[in-house]
Amino acid sequence: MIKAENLSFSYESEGAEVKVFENLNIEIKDGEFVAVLGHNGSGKSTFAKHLNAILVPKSGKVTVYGIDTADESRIFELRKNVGMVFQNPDNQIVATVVEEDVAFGLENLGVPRDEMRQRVDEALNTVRMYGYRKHAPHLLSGGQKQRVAIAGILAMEPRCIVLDEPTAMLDPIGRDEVMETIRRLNREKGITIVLITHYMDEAVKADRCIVMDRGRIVMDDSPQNIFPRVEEVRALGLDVPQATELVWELKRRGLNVETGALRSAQAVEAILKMYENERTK
Amino acid sequence: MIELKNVTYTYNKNEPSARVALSDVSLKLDDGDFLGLIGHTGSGKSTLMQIVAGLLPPPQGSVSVDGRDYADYKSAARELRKKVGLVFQYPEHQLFEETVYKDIAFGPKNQKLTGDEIDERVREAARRVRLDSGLLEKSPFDLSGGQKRRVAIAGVVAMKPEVLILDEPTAGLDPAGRDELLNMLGELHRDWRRTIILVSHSMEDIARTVKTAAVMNNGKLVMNGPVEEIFSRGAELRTMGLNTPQISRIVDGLIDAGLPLSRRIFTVKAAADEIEKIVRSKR
Repeated sequence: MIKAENLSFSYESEGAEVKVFENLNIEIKDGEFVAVLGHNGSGKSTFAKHLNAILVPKSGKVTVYGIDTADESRIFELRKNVGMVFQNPDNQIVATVVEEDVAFGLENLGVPRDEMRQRVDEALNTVRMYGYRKHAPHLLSGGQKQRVAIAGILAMEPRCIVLDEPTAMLDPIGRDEVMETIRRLNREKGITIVLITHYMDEAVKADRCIVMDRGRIVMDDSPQNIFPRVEEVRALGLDVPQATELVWELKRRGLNVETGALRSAQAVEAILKMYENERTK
Repeated sequence: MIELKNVTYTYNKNEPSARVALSDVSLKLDDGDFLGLIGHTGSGKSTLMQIVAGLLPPPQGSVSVDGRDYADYKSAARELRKKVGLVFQYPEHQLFEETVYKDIAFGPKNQKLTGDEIDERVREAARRVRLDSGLLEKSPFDLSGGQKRRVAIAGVVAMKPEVLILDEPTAGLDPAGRDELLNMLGELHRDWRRTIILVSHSMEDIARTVKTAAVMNNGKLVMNGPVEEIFSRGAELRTMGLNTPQISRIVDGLIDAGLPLSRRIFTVKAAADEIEKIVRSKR
């Protein structure tokens, strides 16, 4: 369980205090897949950095699996449990061979050689990059690099992975690869996922979406309940999936269609049903 | 006007690592065009744009500029570099001056313009990219991501290129920043009347911003024409690793189920209009 209680954070700029957020309260349960949304400057990345003590609370408290993130003596234990993946794949690679990059964290922990070998192989298999274990990371695609970065974290056997816009610099193929990997880690390994993203097609895959605006949580619900609130979501500077927008727009024009679709197939189904109803009327 | 005929380009030619990045590509850019260029990573779109900008060693094939054929690419490239301004991906990483003003002035200064001319260029460029003049004396590093990117674009606009190429200009921006930037580009094209090429793998961005587009796949130019024609070939695009907008997939699904819709729909509004029409005609 991850828990932020009355969390506040601010920084100084030109002598003035800029508040990022104040009295934030969030609870994330084990095994949840949570998307955190919000326009730039809403505080979502700053929040994410509090989950493995890259930042520590100015006031309030963050507890991660019983560890207070402000407790410096437990920082290794904390970071073993909560791994973080960033936006730019090139900034996260440290070694010249893929498997050495994945082993980097374990080497620092002094894990015995045999166990290290086993954990690295398993992590690479999980992200479907085992075939590339001897390759040079700089020759991989963006999506492959991000999966190597994820493998490096997996090798530490974390309970939670926080990803800060991991697909922002990737092309559509790379984005699909990374999203598929994230989903599999959540469903099959039960790893808690906190995904910061601007892409609504990624957010709809989460169990829960937290929407931030100017340092406050303004929505916290399932994507099924959030996105059909089209006008509110847009007013927060976010997109809605085109499927949601289409049925919402038809309803607004006075057609008797069921709203709430998130995916193409759901929109197709709702529109066909409306079409049939009109015909048999 | 820039025309490439049967251009082929190979990286590391004569080496074991040789890789053909462009093969037999022909492309004509008329003055005032607003073209979208689509393709996944490695499709050759960046190589193509660098050739248009005169930045690579000579390719095979021929290049003509404003109706003049050049015997060798080297002299064509000299013309192209004068004519074409290229905004790279994440251009804000290249900002370096103390103030926004100085950063935008960097290009015009190198063009050996007078102080007054430079000043005029900077202010005009800032206005064209919708950068508030109050920001000119600020440090570029104090601006938001979207603002920084517009400063970088203004730096190229200030050199008054006849052709402006932008490589993934919305990458990494949030939805509001992306909307603002695309609207700005639409207005820039409308008011400035110069050629603009928008390179992107976001089909949504292309669909809402330009009217004609070209698609690259495996080093070849595989489609070139009106956007509605390109999006009506959704299945083909998907085999090239490109994602058509979700709305095209919905329309395809409805057509497959027997609804009389056109495949040339790629915006939510157009889809809603057509669906509303066929439902109301049933009543």
